Amino acid sequence: MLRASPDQIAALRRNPLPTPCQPLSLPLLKHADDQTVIGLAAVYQAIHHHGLAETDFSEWGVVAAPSYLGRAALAATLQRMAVEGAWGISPHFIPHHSLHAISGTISQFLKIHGPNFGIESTPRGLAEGLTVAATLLATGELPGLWLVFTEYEPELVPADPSSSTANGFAPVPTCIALALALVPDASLSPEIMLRICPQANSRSGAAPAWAAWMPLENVRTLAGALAHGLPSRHWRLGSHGWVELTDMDPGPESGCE
Amino acid sequence: MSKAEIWITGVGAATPLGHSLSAIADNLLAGRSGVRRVSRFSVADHPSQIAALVEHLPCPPDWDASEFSRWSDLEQLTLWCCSAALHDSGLWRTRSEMRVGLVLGSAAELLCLWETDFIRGGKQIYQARADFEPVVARTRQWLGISGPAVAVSAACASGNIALALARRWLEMGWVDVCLAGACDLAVTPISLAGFGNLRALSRRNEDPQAASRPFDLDRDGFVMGEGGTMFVLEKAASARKRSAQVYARLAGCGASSDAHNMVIPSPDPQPAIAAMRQALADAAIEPAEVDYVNAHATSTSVGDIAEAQVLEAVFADHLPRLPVSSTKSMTGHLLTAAAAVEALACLIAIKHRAIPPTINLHNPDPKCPLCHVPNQAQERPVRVAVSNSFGFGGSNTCVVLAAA
Repeated sequence: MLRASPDQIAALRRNPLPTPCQPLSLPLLKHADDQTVIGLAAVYQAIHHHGLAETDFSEWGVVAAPSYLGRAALAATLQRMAVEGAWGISPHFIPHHSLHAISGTISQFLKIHGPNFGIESTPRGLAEGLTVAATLLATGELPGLWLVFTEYEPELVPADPSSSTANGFAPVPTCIALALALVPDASLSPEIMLRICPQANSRSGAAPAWAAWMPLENVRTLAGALAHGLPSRHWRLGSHGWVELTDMDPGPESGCE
Repeated sequence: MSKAEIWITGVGAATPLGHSLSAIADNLLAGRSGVRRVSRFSVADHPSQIAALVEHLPCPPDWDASEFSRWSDLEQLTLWCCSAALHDSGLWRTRSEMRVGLVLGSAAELLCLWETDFIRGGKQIYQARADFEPVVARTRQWLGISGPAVAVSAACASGNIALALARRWLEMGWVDVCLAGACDLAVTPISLAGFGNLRALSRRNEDPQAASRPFDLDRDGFVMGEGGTMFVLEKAASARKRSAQVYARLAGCGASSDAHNMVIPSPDPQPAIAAMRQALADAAIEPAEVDYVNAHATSTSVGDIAEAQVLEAVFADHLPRLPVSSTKSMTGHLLTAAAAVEALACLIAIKHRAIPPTINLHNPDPKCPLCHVPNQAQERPVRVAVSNSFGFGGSNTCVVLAAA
């Protein structure tokens, strides 16, 4: 997991690698959203710290679940549009601030040729991201999947230039990213931190959706749980039990790990 | 996980060519263009001033019109498509008795919401949104369905990703029925300007209906469109049991990434070829068995040629006899919703035994040597149709739809 202030993101934009020795084509990140920059940096950090440097990612997939992606860039773009009109709009805005931007950039940097796509950009993306990851890995067709969560803490709210209310006392949001390397078979993994198990016995008629996943209310709580051990044997995502996270003890129906 | 046969048993759509399956089919097969000059906002200083827009979205049956009118445009569109699909499948009244999932292709919901609000004088972009509930969650709640719901985006390939995920949920037994497709209302001042300044859009402003011309030598970019299509997917066994109508079998899906550039298609056709071959292998269908290809072909100079090369590699000797058309010539490019609407075009081809044309194709580009369907629909049986959709971020996707 990575946490970065705006200044630190500016540095990561110049070099997202955990070590400065590997050169990258840095202009590729010039127009990227801050959440893309930190998401990519988190993937590189995971590769560096978890012995994945020799792994062939070419057939993996990438799923990224950002939170309110593109908000700051849109606020600036709206102001620019008001002053300069249509010709003032950057052609880079849409490609780099839409929901596919993080997964597409990661696939480009890591030369990943499996599927890449984004998940709804709200804090609720945590549960959906894990659900989709379990879906993609269930058949074993993908050798692995990068699942990347990003968000601001607290929520990044652009300053209204027309407002006289100063928000100088507001805390400066930091950007957080969590990158999970998931594989469908535990025997391929040097370390297991999380197991995602699809449940077969879920039926309708339970409580409203997403009511039961509050322990995983944001990226930080999931990252903390992974770092310090899961506080309980099972964390159920969604009251329908489509997916549950377990600790190291394999359940009767193993999923992806 | 069993690889069960998955059928499409319901369709709901709102497109520039109409809001009902019959209207859309009539217009597609008649070769009518939905492209107009944009009048929703001022386009005086936009390089491209045309688009294919959705007009006058009706309130779904069984819904309170005044309540419906208070929702955002994207919410209305999504609810209309989902509601129509469930009605069409015959599952509307029983939807709460089964696990109905929802996979929605949606790329920029908040960006559109914030922009629209800002233009109307609102300040939502400057306000905290901790309680924000995305359209996929609200649609699930409004419909009263109980399965998993997720919004996905692979840019213009989103609809195919949604179909693939929904099929997998059905195969895994997570849902009994799944709504899948995509909705997009991206024709806004910023997106029209952004794509225009990217030099991706046609500037044939004086002749809007001739502007989208995939594979034509005189093409000069794509035309933005908007709308959506949602499908009801279910296992063939359960559809048979209730004697449901069936449009087609979702036979195969494939997806890959270029890993080359966020915007420009890869000069190496192999990733896109891999996606198509993956879909055909998944469907256990040989290239020679394919009767129709609905091409991604957006009417850009680079993209259309790149796709022609991909088709040449995948279909080889069969290509000269394989009809290929791009319905974007009529609908415009619906971006996030494009793949879903083009899957619908394939269902129409299967159902009506007729292939929709590529209109405005008067001077085929010699670098796109395909068996075109220029300007007029071709009547012929279609048992297997293939739909390609590629997107920003390097996404390549393909679905195979077969008569059930």
